[in-house]
Amino acid sequence: MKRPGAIWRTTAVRLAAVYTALFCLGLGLGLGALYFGTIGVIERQRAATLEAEVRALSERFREGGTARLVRAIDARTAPDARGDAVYLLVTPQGRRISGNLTAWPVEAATEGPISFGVSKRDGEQITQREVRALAFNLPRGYRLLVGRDNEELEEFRNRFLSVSLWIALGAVILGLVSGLLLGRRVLGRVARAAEAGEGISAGQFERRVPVSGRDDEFDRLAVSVNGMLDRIEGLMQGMRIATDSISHDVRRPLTRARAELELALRRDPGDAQAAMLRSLSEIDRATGLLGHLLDIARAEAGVQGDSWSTLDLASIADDAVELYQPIAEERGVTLVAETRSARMRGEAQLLAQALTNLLDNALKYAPAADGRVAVDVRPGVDGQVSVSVRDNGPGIPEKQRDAVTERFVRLDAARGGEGSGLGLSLVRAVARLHGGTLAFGDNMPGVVARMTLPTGLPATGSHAK
Amino acid sequence: MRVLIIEDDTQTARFLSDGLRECGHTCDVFNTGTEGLAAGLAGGYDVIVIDRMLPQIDGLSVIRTLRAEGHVTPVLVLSGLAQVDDRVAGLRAGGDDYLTKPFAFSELLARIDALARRGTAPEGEATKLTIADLELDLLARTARRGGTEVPLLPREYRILEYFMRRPGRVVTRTMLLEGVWDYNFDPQTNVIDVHVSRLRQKIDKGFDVPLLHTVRGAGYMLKAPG
Repeated sequence: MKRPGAIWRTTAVRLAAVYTALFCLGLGLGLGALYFGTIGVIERQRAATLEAEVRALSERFREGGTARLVRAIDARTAPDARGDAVYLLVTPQGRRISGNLTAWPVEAATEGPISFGVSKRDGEQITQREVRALAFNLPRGYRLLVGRDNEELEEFRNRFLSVSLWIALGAVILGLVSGLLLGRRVLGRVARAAEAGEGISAGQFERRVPVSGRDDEFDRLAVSVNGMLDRIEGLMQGMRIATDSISHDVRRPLTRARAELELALRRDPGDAQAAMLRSLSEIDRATGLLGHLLDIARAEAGVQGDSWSTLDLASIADDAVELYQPIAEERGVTLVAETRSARMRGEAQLLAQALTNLLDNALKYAPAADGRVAVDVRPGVDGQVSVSVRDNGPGIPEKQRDAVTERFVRLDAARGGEGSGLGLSLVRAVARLHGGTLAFGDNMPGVVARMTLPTGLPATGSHAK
Repeated sequence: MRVLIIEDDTQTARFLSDGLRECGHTCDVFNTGTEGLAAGLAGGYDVIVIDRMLPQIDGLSVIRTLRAEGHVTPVLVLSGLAQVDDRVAGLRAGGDDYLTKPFAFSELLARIDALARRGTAPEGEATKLTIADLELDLLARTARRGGTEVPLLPREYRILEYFMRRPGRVVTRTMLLEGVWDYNFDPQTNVIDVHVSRLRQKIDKGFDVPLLHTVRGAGYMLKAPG
């Protein structure tokens, strides 16, 4: 999957390279400014030193003549003195009196600053050096030359250049290595996301983009992509339930209706009336099933629409309980409701339909003799409300409960009943549409179905804490 | 009754017009929004039955135009779209009732009947409704039959009021669910039958003449004998 050179194609690495280059350019400009600034300071210092020395030496000459000056120069050119100083005192005829230069340089024709080259012996080695000097005319035609060779400057230049080179090398290496590492990390995370996407495209719908937990931009992207994938998976599951149910439950009544009509055509006309009536009821059954399937599909695919409002889940539950009360009594089942006001944003019709489906289901499985179905609605914590419907019927074995939550189509089979189980599919779809969940638990005996829904309302001060 | 049918599916349109004619109504059928709108604007109908999806001009636009032109003819919207939002949109555009396809003809007939008569008998004016010896006091919210008070639960009272406001007319189960419970869906079990039979127990039991009748294949009817 990884291609050689792929890392150079990543944005992060290209950015790192560009930033490294820019950083090096900035570093170069900074070092250059420092270099030329320092050179200037050194030059000025040297010029000032030369002037001061010339002044001091000419002072000696005025006080004590040549003898005094020669003593001073000899002291300064002694072998243990600084090696970079150059002195020369010549007669008006140009003959050397004292100093460490062999002859008056031709460049120093007049008074003032000059520069010239000398060869300097340092043990066996002879090196060419540039000397900056100041020529000065003393009284009575004597001439004085005081200079400094550029050894100090050279040394500074060399050290500066080598240090600069190391700094630049370090910067480039650091920039490239960090860029490379960053690129590899970024590329790795993108590659993992891409692998997840490829896996999903290949049919592994449960794959998700890994979330590192660092809560950075990549995590945000991963979380949003995963949310999208969950939604798509939900829609696909809804589709699967719909197609499964269409193939089983909707086809069945249509098959029966068709058979009825076909048989009636063959038999004597007297049967036709009855056959048509039976066919009609089968077609109604198929129509009803299709309606339920469409309700589920819409709830699964749904978003908040115009029909959403702020409502009280308790009053919806009370209405549904009231609707089923006569039928419960007829079946000998005690139906009780304990509801506390639970305000939320939702679609009243779908919530009512979900509740009637839960009630329908509970009443169907509650035992006829001493059946008991209890509905309770309560505002929960953390901005959630919950409604639960309990029965004391045969219950669902715990092992099957998970399977049942996964695929509602099988719930009826798990409880030994007949019917499509579409009612509970709708309940789950409605719960999901409202951002909530539907869970089944053990009521010992029987089943407790609990829908937990977020209120979707801003938390009110009085309820908080 | 003159009924205007605007429906692009010719087979459904024929089924509607044949059925309505058999019941003694006069029907005009148009298959496009443009023709239907022109006929509607010409007026003279008691009820308009219109499909939501029509060629040229869609059903809701036709209704909006009719309402904007000041026509108050009751409109029943037929639609394959059953979502609550679609229903809300249909009623908001000016429709008076909404029926999802496929539908039972008896349901359609009951609803057209209810719509057509609504204009003639304004609701909420009277303080007392009476059918034979059954009396409903709308202020005290009590019912009396033959002078004796019939004790009713609040919901039973509302069911009875719904019937009393539609004397001699078919009331379907879905009409009761919509009118009394405000439910736009059919619960899986037929709970309405149980409610109606309980109400019947209270108002008809012990009396020689029953008032609340079952209409086979359609629903119920509250009517005075004779």
